[in-house]
Amino acid sequence: MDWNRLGPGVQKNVKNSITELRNFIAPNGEIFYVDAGIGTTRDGSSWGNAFLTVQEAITASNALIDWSADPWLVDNWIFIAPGEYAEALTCPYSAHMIGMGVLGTDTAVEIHPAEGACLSGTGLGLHIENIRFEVTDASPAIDFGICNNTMIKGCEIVCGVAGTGTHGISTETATHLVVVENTWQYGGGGNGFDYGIYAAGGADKYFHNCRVERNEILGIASGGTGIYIAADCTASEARIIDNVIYVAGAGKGIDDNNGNSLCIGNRIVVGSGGDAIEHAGGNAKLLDNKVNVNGTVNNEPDIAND
Amino acid sequence: MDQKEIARMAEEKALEAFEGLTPSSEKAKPKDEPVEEDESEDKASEDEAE
Repeated sequence: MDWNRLGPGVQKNVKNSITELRNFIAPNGEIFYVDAGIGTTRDGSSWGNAFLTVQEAITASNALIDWSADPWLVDNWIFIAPGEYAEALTCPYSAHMIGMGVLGTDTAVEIHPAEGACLSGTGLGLHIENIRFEVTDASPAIDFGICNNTMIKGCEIVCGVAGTGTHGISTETATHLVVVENTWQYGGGGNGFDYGIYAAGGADKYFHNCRVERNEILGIASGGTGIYIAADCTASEARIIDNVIYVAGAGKGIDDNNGNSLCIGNRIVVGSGGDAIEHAGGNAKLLDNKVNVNGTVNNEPDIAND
Repeated sequence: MDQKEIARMAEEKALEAFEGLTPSSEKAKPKDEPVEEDESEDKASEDEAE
């Protein structure tokens, strides 16, 4: 844009405003820009000088971390222009990764690798928002080993090829993971993930203080499971609240084998032979869940008569 | 620092958040181990009786 046409005062004010906005968004960190349509990769310092790939921005963001500093956090931002990115990403740390555009149309950011998880590694101070993750093989769409202080918000988790999906979001051990307002979807063929969220656990593993709230977990294979927590995955202070879950066939909506999660206000539909909520803690941590098992609607737990 | 080293540092930092949590194996211990008698309490009640 030719700012001079608007007058020198306007040019100065607009530039000042942009600087102020930039300082407001990232007071301590850097901002990196990614645009698949830019043709040639640059240094990521602006939309006009964007990186061509998301992984370049992640690498640049992580390179700014001084791991010996206290605090070590950098709080960087990665803004991604709408487009399809055929990348299997590793995680940025202490960073926000934001997709521009509008999900549900072809003007969104889509991470869509030819093989492997869309995003994998350690979740550490990570905030992801407004991005479509479409997996095309038997890998989880998002695959965390260790996950600490991570938020996934407003994203689409998509099983791209029928019959191949394993886990939408997978963790081995997690604390303070927030999964909020995302949707799970079929990408093709009508089949989907075996598990929407899979807390794998193992000896001394956790799903501690994790929040799964206001998601729409569809796109699950017939007989699959919406949210799974392993028996040895300590889900202390975990909350599963206000989600909509649909599983066709003899599947499970919530399958908490550890029995510690608080399940409140979920709406779950499963097919014939299905179990909407299987919870090792019995009814003690359930409230106001409405379930539909093959057309029969009930509350879980049942509301006692006065 | 290469990418592998960065990933290792991130894992190390991420695991710090789990320190202080009670692992499932420790929760199981009280059920498995016999409860030892508290000798100091016994001694105190003996003293009171005297």
